[in-house]
Amino acid sequence: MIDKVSTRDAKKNTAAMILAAGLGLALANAATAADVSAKTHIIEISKFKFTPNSLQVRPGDTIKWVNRDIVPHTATAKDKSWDSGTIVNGGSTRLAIKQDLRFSYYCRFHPKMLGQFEIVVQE
Amino acid sequence: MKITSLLTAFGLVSLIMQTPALGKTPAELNDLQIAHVAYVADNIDIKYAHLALALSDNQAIREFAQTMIRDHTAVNDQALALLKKLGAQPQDNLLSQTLQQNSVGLIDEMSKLRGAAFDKRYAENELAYHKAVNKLVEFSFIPNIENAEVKALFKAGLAIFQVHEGHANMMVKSLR
Ligand SMILES: [Cu+2]
Repeated sequence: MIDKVSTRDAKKNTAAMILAAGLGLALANAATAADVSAKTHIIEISKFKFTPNSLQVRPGDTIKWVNRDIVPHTATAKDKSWDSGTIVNGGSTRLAIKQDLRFSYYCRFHPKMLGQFEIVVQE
Repeated sequence: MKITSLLTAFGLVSLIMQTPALGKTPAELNDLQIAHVAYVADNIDIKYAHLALALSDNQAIREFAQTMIRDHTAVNDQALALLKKLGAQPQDNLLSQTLQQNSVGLIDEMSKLRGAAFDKRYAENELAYHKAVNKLVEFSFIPNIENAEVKALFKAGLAIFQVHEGHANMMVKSLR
């Protein structure tokens, strides 16, 4: 991935998520020096499960949740510090990873659906 | 307390048992009649949820009710889209009508309750209702549906309603 492209993408993504969620999420301005290797991690929501259920990410990365279920879901921090808003069937939403982001999350609509990510900080 | 939910479940079971005498068991319904029963069953749960939103102040109950409306509406939308694609109309039948009649009595009963008494009754009914409908879908409908796309949708629906059943069970326990 090229530096400028991913920076631009990250900004677009940030805007997209706020639009999609309609909520003021505390999103990172993902444009950092780590951008050269910034990645988008896809988490599929299918059959009431987040897959992968647990993954490693780095500050500057983006997580994209894609909902394959008929019913709407959310990805919501356990402490509610961030919230995707409603993700409908076939829809997706993104979250830019910041170092101090809370990483345990659940679905507000189906509280037994749990997921997490580990934020790995490079030296 | 247990007795009321058993009775509710029994009410549904007994209607299912009674229908053969009238010439149709759930297993004898065709795909379009099954689709109609499912559509009615979805809408009944949506009605219960609206009652809960009108009467309950309990946050967990309200969130559950909103999820019921959201999810059952999504399933119904998919079902209608599929029927449209297949150029078919759901067919009204005795089982749909009996379900509908039963729900009128339950709404009447629940609408007289307030506060914790309502919350408890609503949660118990949701558990009993999802249990009974899931049984019907899993053992009577899915094995007998002929159209592959309709069958796939019912399987997806069953997985959703099983999650609801688990959620309702959690709610019943937390209200005890
Ligand atoms: Cu969910």
